[in-house]
Amino acid sequence: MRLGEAKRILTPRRFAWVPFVVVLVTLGLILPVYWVYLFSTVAIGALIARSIGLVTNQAGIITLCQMSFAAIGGWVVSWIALAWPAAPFPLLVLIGGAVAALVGLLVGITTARIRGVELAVVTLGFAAALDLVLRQGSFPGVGTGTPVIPTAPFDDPRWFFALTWALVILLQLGIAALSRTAHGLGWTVVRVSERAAASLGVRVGAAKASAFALGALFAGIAGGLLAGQYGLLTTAVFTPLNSMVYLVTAVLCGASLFGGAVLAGVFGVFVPELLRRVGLPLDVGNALLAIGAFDVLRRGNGGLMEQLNARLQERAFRNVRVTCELVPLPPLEPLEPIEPLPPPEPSVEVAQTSLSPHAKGAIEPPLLEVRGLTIAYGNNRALDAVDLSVYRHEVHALIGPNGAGKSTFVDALTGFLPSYGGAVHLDGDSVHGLAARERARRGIRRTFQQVQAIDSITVDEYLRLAGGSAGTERIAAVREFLGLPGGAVPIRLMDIGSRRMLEIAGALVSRPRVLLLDEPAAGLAEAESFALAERMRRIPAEFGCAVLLIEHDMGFVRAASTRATVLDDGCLISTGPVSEVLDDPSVVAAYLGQELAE
Amino acid sequence: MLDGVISGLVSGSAYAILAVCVVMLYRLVGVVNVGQAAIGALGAYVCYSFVGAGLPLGVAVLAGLAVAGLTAGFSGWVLARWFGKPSETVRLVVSVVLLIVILTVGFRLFGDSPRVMPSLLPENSFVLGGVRVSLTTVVALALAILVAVGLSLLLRHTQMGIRLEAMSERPTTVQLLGVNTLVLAIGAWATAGVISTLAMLLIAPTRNPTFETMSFLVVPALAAALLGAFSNVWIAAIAGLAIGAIEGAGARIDWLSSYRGAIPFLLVIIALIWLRRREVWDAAR
Amino acid sequence: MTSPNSRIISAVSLAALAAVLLSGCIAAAGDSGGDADTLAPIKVGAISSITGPAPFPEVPASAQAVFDRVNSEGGIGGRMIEFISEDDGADPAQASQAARRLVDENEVVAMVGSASLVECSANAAFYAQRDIVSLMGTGVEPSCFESKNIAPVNNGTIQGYASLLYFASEDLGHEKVCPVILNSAGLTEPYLELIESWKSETDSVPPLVDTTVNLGDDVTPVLLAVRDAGCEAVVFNSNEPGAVAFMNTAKQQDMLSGIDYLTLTSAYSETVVETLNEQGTLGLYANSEFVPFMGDDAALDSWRETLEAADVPLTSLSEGGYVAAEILVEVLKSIEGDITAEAVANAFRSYGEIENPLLGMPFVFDDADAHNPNRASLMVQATEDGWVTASDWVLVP
Repeated sequence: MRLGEAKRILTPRRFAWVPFVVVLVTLGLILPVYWVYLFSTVAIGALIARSIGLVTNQAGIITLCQMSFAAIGGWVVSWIALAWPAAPFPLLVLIGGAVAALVGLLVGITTARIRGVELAVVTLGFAAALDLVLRQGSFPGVGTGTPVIPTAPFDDPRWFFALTWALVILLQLGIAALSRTAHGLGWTVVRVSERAAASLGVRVGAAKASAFALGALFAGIAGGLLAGQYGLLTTAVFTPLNSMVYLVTAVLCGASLFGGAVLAGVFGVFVPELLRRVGLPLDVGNALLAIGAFDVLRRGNGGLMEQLNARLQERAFRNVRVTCELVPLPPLEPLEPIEPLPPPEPSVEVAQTSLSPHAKGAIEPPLLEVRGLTIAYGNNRALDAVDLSVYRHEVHALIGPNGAGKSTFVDALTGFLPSYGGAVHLDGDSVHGLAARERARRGIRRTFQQVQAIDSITVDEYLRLAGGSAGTERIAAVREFLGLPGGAVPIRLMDIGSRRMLEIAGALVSRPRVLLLDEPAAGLAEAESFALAERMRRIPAEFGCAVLLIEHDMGFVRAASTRATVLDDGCLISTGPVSEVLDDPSVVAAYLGQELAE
Repeated sequence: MLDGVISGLVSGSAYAILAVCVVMLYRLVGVVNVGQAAIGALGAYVCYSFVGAGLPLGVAVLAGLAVAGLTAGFSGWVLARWFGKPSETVRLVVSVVLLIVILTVGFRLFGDSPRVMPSLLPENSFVLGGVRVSLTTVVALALAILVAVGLSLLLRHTQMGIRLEAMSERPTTVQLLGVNTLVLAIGAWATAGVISTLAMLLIAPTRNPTFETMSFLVVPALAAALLGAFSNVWIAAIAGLAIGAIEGAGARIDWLSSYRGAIPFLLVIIALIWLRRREVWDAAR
Repeated sequence: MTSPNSRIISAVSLAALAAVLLSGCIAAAGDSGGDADTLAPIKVGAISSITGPAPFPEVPASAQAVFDRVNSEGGIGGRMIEFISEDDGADPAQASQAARRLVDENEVVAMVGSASLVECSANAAFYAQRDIVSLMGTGVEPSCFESKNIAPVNNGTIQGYASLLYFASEDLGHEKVCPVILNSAGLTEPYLELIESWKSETDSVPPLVDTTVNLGDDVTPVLLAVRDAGCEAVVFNSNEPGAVAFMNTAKQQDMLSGIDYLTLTSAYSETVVETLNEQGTLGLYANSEFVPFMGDDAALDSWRETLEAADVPLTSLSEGGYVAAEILVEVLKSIEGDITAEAVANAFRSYGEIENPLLGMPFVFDDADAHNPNRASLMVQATEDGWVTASDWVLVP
C-alpha cells in the first residue's frame, strides 16, 4: 500500500461528522423558530429519502410504498400516545419504527422470489391497499380530536429539531457501518444481478428482506416523527402519490449517500418555499422534481450527490493506479497431465495409491466429476450426455466453437439451470438439488462472461464480500498474485480487463475447491493474456483449488492448462492432454470446418 | 351477489382494458406504464371540459382522444429519443415521472371538482335475471374483449405485430433491418393512450371520480397485468374483469365490504408467490 | 457509503446551509422589523387548498373582499387589515409549513377564512399550542370540528347530514328514512354516532343504514339495497359530482318516483341543478348552511355587493369566507388596547353570541374543547326553476 493511498484511507468519516454536528447545533440554537421547524422537516424528509436510497439505490428494489411504512410508524405512535400519554416520545418513535420494520420484513420475505418491475408493482399494490384500509377509519386520536403531543422537552421546537437530527445521524451511522459488512455489501450485488449474488454465496432472499426491513425502519421512524409534528395524522400525509414523489426526489438527489438524502429533504422543504417567494403555484414543485429525476436518469450517472461523489473520487484517484498489473513471472516446468481414472465398474476394485498427485500416472478420484450431463429444450439438446472430470490440482480447459454449450455447462454445474439430466459430484458428494448459492458456498465458484463486478464499491469491499465466511486471510496473497490495485480504489474507475481480474480474485479469496472461469482472458492484450495464463497455471499449487477454464484463445489454453475437453454442438468430441486434443483432427474440423481438417 | 358482480363489471372492463394496454406497452416498448390511466384521465377530462364549454359530445370525445393520443405519443417519443437502452427499473421510474407530471398538469387544468360527466351511451338498461344491466356495462365488456382479441391477433398474426415484438427484444437489430422503431414506438404509445381514454370515458359516469382517483385506477389494472406476467393479454383481461367483479360482489358482504379494495392486491401476491415458487434467474450471463 | 472526500461533500453542504441560513435571517429580520406602532397593519392569515385536487379559492378570496372593503372604510381604529392567504395544495406538509410561517414568521393575530382539505388535522395541535384562533370559512375534515382553537362558520358534513335527517323525518314526515353513508376517511364513525342520536331523539327506525360503498365508487349496489329495503327517503353524503352520479344511477335503476333524495350542501350549485334538469333527475333536496345564495333574501345584498366589487364568484362557499371575515371584523372592533393573538383569542371566548344576517343561528366561540357553532340549515330543492327554498331553518338539537 502506498503512502498516498494510506492517507486517503485514513480520511476518517468521523471528522466529517463533527463540523456537521457543530453546524446543526448552532443552527438549532440561533435560528428563529420557523426555520428550526423547517430544518426538522428537512431531517424527516432525509430519513424517508435515505430509506428509499437504501432499498432502491443500494439494493436495487424499486419501492413505491415507503410512505405506507411511515404510515404504520405514525399509526403506532398515535395509538400508544393515546393509550399511554406519559410515555417518552423518542421511545414511541422507536417502537413505531420497529413495528414498521417487522411489516417490512414480512413484505421482504413474502416477495423473495419476485423481482424487478413485478416487485415494484407489488409494492404499489401494497401502498394502495394500505391506503384504502386506513381510509376506512381514522388515525388514533383524530376521532376525538386528541393530538399527539410529544412529551417534554420534545414539544419545544428546538428539542424536536435535536431529536430528528439525532435520529437521522444515528441511523445513518448504523446503516453505513452495516453497508461495510459482508451482509450489507450483499445488497449492492443483489442490485447488479441476483445471479452474481448467488454465485458469490450471498443469500439473495435474506439480503432483500433485510433491505426492506431496514428501509421500513427508517420510514417508520420518520412516520412517528411526523405524528409528533402534526399531532393529528390523516391518510393525506401518506398517499401512494407521496411515496412516488419521494422516490423521484431520492433518485434525483442520489439518496444512497447521506448527503443525497439530506439534499432530498432540503428540496422537499425549500422548493415550495422558493416557489412561494417567486410567486409560482405550489403544484409545480412536484413536477419540477419529477423532471429533475428524468434528467438524472437520462444521463445515467446517478443522482446529484452520487455524481458529485463520483467526480470527487475520480479526482482523488487521479494519480493512483487503478488497473491490475500482471508482472511477468519466471517460467515453470511444464506439468505432466494427470491420467484419468477408468470409469468405475462394480466388479473391479479401484486401486488405492499413496502416490502424490503430481507424479506421472497418478490415479486419484476427480475433485469435480460430471457424468452424463444432459440438457434438452424440447428436441434441441444443448448438452448431450457429457462426461468430464476435473482433478484436484489441475487446470482443465473446456473449449469448443461458439454455441457448443460451454457456458450452459457451467450454468448447470453452478446451479443456474432449473433442471438437468446426469450427475455432478464434488469430492464424491452429489450436488443434485442444491441451489446456486449453496453450491457456491460448498466451493464451486465461477466468473461470468459479462463482468459482474459491482460499480459502487471498492476493491477491498468486493474482496471481503466475495470472501464471505472464508474471511480476509487470503486477500493479501491474492492481491499480490493478480497485481490488484489498492484496496480503496472504487471499482467504477477500473477498466474491464482489471475488473475481470478482480472477479477472479474474489473467487480465489473465498477458498474455492474448484474455480470455473468463463473466458477470463477476453479483452486482454497479448502480453497481459500471457501473464494471466502463467498465473492460471500456478493457481492449483498456490491456492489449492482446481480450475475449469472456458477459453477461445488457443495460446492461452496451451499456456495455462494441462488437460482439455472439447465440446461441439453439445457433444463431447475429445478429451485428454492439451497438446493431443488441440492436434486432434476432429477438433480442428469442429472449429474450422471439415475441408481444412482433411 | 349476482347483481353485485354485474355492477362491478363496468369497472372490471375498464381495468381489463387498461391492463391490456399495459401489457401491450410492455411487450412492445418494455415499459410498465404506471401513468396509463392518467393519460386516459387526461383525455377524458379534456372531453368533459369541452362538453362543459358547449361542444357536442361527439366532437368533445374526438378531441379528448386526440389529446390523449398526442400526449402518449409524445411520451413515447421522449423515452425513445433520450434513452438509449435503459434498464427495466429506469423505465419504471420514468413512467412514475410521467404519472406525476400528468397529475400536476391535470390538477392545474381540471382542478375544479364539479364536472359533469355525460355518458357516451344512452342510459338504457334491461333486466337480466332480476338484475338491471346497463348498456354501458355491455359495451364496456364488449370493448374489453375486442381490445384483447385485437391485440392478440395483431401481435401474433400480422407482420407489424411481429416487428413490434422484435423491436422490444432487440431494438438495434430491428433498426438495422430497416424498420423505423421510433415510429412504431410512438404508434404503440398513442394507441394505448386512445384506448385508455375510451375506457375512462365509459367508467367515469358511473363513479364520477376525481382526476387523481381516475389516475389511480391503474393499480387494479397493474395487478391484473401482473398476473399475466405482463406478457399474457388474455390473463390480464380476464383478471381485470375478475377484480371488478370481486369488488362489486364484495360490496354486499358486510364484514368484507370496507376492505374489499385490498382483495385484488392480496390475491395477486398469493398468485405470484405460487407462480414464482421455483427459482428462476435473471437473463444476464 | 464510502466517500474518500466526504469532508468536501459536507463542506459543500455546510456552505449551502449557511447560504440558506443567511437568507432566512435576513427574511426574518425584515419581517419583524415592524415595532409596536399602532398604525401598523393588523395581520390575519388563512390556509386554503387553492391548488390541488379540489380547490376552494373563492373562500379566502371572499374574506379578502371583506377586508378590502373594511380597509377602504378606514380600517379598524385607523389600522389596515393585512390578509395573508397561503396555499397548501391539499398537502399536509405544506399546510403545516404555512401555519408556522404565518404564526411564527408573520405573527398573525388570527386565522380567518381558511378552506382546506388537510390543514385542520395538520395544524390543530399547533394552533392550540400557540393559542391562536382559526375562524374557518369552510371546514371539511372532522378535525376542524373537534379542536379547541378552530371554529368553522359552516355546518360541516356531520351537522349538515343531521339537519337532512331531521328534515326528512320531522318536516317531510317520512317514517322509512334510510341513511346512506359513502365512506371517506374517518367520517363513517361520526356519521353512525349521529344516526344513533337522531334515532333516539326522533324514535325513527331506519329500514337500512348502508355503509358499503366508498365515496367515488359506483353506487349501484347501494340503490339496489335501498330498493330491497323499501325506503321512502334516502339521505346520502356526497360531493358535488357524486350527487349528480347518484341521481343518475337512481334514474337508471328506475327508482326516482316515490323516494325523496337528500344530500349535503356541496350539491347546492348552479351546475348541479342544470345537470339534474338535463338528466331529468330533479327533486333532490340539499341543505344550505347559510341563507340560500340563489335566493332573494335581503340579507344577501351586502354580500353580493362586496363580492361583485372584488370579482369573486357567488357560491355558497364564498358565503362562508364572507361570514368568517365579518365576524372577525366585529370582534376586532371590540378589542380595547393592543391587538395581539392573545387578545383576539380572549375576545372571542368572552364575546358571547355573534349575530350575522347570513347565519341561521347566533355564532358562539366560547371556551369549549370543540366547536361546531353553526348547526342550522335551510333546505332547498332542485326544480325546473332552479334551487327553491323548501323549508325554514332546521336546527339540530
